[in-house]
Amino acid sequence: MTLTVSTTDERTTTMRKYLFVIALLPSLLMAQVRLTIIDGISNNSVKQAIEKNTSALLTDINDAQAAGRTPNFGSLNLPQSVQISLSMLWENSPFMVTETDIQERCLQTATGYQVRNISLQMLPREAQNFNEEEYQEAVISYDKQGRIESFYLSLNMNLYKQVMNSNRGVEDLRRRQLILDWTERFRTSYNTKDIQFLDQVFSEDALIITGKVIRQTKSDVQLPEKIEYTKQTKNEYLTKLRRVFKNNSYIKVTFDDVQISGHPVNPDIYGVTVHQGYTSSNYHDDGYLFLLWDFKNEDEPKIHVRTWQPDMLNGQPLQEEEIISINDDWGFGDE
Amino acid sequence: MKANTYIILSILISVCLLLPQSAAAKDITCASEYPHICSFLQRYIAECREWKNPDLSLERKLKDDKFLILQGSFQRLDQTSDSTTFSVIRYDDKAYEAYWNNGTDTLLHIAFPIQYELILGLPQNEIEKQLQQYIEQAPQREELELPYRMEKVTETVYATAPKQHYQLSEVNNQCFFLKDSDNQWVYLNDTAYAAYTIANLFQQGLERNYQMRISQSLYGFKKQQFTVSLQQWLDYCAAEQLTCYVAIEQETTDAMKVLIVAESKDLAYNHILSALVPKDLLNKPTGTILCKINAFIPTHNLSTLYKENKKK
Repeated sequence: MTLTVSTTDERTTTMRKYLFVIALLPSLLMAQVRLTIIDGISNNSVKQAIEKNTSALLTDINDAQAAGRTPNFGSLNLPQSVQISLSMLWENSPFMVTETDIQERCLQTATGYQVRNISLQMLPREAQNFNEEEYQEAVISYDKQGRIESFYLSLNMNLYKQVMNSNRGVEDLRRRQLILDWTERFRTSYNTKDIQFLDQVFSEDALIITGKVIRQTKSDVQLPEKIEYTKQTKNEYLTKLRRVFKNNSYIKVTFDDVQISGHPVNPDIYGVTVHQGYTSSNYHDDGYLFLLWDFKNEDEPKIHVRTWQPDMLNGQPLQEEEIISINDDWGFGDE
Repeated sequence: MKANTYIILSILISVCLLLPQSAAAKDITCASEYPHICSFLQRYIAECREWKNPDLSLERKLKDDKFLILQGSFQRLDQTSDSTTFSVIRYDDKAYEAYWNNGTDTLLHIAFPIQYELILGLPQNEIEKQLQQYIEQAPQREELELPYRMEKVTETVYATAPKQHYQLSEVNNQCFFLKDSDNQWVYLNDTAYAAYTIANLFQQGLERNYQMRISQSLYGFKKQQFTVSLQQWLDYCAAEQLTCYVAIEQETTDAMKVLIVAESKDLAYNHILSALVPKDLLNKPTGTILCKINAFIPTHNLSTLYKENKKK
């Protein structure tokens, strides 16, 4: 598929955005960068550790950019591996954090926690050829005590709206119809308890994220509900699902409000959001299911991401911006 | 559905369950231009009246199926007689409502989604296996009437109007015509106008004796291969009241890749057919077209095929 080359107007807009950030640079760099976790973790002390450690790292990055020095990764109590990877990243291209007040949800992983969507701007050194600005997003992982374990980058997808509009063609329409077909087959596999299909359709490195509502009370007072997100590998998820299939004679899954999005950069990647109803022998829930499909091989598409979150929180439907979608950072932009 | 409606529904259902003799299957009055709907209602209501599944309450089943009892009850259908009137209303492409009335007394008023799995009682992985049989058993269609309205495409080429399209303007149901020496409309059938000729091929057939060698994608990463004639495919589309939208997806030096969307509004599904038409085939009365098909893709629950990306 041919991608649209940016026009003169787009380059002008890009350059204006770059100059705008440059103009704001002193104020951005001098302010402390603060991360606030808005959801996804109930342990308050670990939450505070994540916020403190991340805020310190991101503030030092911006201070280093302002002072024209290398960040003091060593003084931030980071593991050696993280210091090395950050140093290499900085050596390749210094960067800065574009927001001073970051609010993100936290995911639970097998080894700890993860925060995604930290917006960065890459600022290559003067000696390098500089064709256009680069915006990236960082993903930071933490251990169970909230200490930083890793820091890596993935491409920000939200900047490529122009390319998305130009993808709409007959081939794209046919693929979206096939995505609809495969999404229905995915639903069928749950209703028929077909683990073999699910094993085949999930990619080996598939990311499975499940949210659950946490209800807490303090001194007999009901606190606001929160959603806690858990991350699983494909094997972890299918192992649990086998048990569910074995223990329930009846399972029925319904899909409504199916919405299909194309990836703004990668024409083989599509996102599907559905409102899912799940009924088993002794349980029922409703929520939003998101699937990230890879259609590189149309005869054997793969799911790279599967997320589920409840559709209500504190008695209110989830707002659209809270529903996980292709606009969240999943990578797949640099193929 | 509001909580009080479900309470009433639960009470009604409880009464039905306590009186087994009234829950026995019974033919219900049902005459409609939608034969699928009558068959569905007979089957579904009988199933509900005899419901005994220990793993699933009837209330839950009705909720999952989105089958709403808006007035009356299943039990009241025992009061149907020769004077009972039955009517079906369709709301856009989303739902049906059905009524049974004895005069002004509503025995039962129900609503349900236009969803083929519910109406036919067959999930996709079952019904798709029967596609070849459905195509082969379709009755020959009646001769197409020439359309009343045409719009000019070029100095000599005309297209049917108004154009209906599927999502994109170029994926449409138009046929293309020329005027012959007697000033009569004739279907465009000329390799110099390959795209228009192909559109006519998959809408009308152009009296070609082409075979379609179809590779059908099935649930479970499986495929089945079969061959039917182009005429059989067109007869099937007519019999099932499918609207076909045709577009050229790709053109190479020697072939055209064609997309055909066959849409069923009555049962809310699409067949997606992809056909590879060799350009030199258009000069010949017989030949083979290689095709791929994904069948019975449900569309009742589709909100949008093109959700806009918004920065969070």
